[in-house]
Amino acid sequence: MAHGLVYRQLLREKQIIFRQKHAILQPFLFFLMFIAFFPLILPFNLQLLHAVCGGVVWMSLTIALFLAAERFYLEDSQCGYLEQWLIYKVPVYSYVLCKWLVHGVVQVVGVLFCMPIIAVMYQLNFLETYSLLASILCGMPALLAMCGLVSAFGPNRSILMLLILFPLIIPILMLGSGAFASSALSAYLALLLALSIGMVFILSIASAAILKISLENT
Amino acid sequence: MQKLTTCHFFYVALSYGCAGMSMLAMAGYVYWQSLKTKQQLKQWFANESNTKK
Amino acid sequence: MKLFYALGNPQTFYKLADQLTQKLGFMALVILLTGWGWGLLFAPPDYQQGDAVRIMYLHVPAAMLSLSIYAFMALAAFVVLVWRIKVAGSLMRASAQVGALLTFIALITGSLWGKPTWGTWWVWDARLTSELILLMIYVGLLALAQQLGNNASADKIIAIICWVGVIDLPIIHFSVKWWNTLHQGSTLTVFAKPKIHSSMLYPLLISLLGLALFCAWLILSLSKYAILQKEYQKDWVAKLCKN
Repeated sequence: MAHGLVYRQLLREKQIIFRQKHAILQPFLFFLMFIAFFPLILPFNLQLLHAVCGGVVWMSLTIALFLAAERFYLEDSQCGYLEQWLIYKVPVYSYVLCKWLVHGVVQVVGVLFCMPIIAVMYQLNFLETYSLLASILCGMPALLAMCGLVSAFGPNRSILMLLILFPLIIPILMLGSGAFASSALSAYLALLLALSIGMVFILSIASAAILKISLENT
Repeated sequence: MQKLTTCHFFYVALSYGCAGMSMLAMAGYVYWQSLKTKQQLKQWFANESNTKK
Repeated sequence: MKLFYALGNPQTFYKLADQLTQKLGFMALVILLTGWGWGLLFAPPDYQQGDAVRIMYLHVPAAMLSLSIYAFMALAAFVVLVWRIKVAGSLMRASAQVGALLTFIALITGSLWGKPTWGTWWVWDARLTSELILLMIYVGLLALAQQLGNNASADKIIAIICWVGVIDLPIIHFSVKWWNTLHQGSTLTVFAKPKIHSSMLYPLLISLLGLALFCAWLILSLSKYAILQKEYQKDWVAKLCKN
């Protein structure tokens, strides 16, 4: 019974995304735009571009994920679907994980699509592109989990929560941008993966708890 | 050598001063909380005795 | 176990806190002044750093306590989440305030110590950065507490965020072992002989004890008043203030 419910929730998430494609495309375009600004604005110096590339891509990814995550619980809470999930016997973290899984897959596809564009804009060679891509793939679940937690507080409070929880996003960003064009790449990737797995598990339970508390309040 | 020691002492004094002042500020905050509680309780009891009358 | 549930009762907790704070306040003052007096006036200057090493008697206890208070807050948060005890919620909020103060002191004194010794106010070293992140987590928790108000569901949310941030504690603790950058390694450990000479060790330990007692006094006083402000309508409060 629960197995069927989770499968149907996954299909429903995919439906929500494809019915309102602009909700995903807008953050994606923001991501590209933000990254494109830096080569345009900064003085043309190849070493400078290479130095800032990792940090810029990761910052842009954080903001784009946050913008996409703001709408996570919007439709479901408006039509009462969220409350049905909260009082049902299946644990709520499976609902949260479904949402994150589907959004994560969509965003991975988006990032894969962007990689050649970024490589051309910043004039990266293959190794650098590979390190950037690998670090994003390993670290994005952690970032997605944090943005998911921030959005669980409700649409009104999400920016405040982002500011409050930003200190916890900093380690992910530091590791991610440090992995760019680094010689100890596998070490960074291992740390990012560990962080991702840990954060996805812990923060899904935390998000579920916060959703339940918001229900108690309203 | 003498100047070096004096310079160092400036930093020592500054750090102990900052820390001491912030600790005193915190103690002052505790005192302010005690005053606020007393005032809240006084107001509550004044209201209570008014309504009881 | 019965003691644990007895402490959860606001009235018992208030009585205990009241008695403790009276004794703790004076003890903390005396021990702290002894420790710092010894450290400032009688302890020997370091052969490399000169008199600047006296900041150690302030910086090291503050940093150690900033971590311990977060651990205590995480414990109170755990009690809030599992047993839903309101007294633990007040303790958690109070320790967030005190912990923020101590982290701030640790960062400022560390930076003031770094200038004469290493010539720089700040460097993005692992331990310094993670301590700064700890300060930001504390401030975030205080902002949350301010914004969400003083009820039970706010306590639960603060407890959850506290536990999400607890990952920073092992990062700070092991950062000097994992990354070999500027900040020096640990001199005091639980199991090994301390790597510091006894003439500096004793004032350090006394300052640590004094500062810990001061923090305990702060946390107990703040939670005491917070409980009174929440429970002001109860009968035991009326009986308490026959003045």
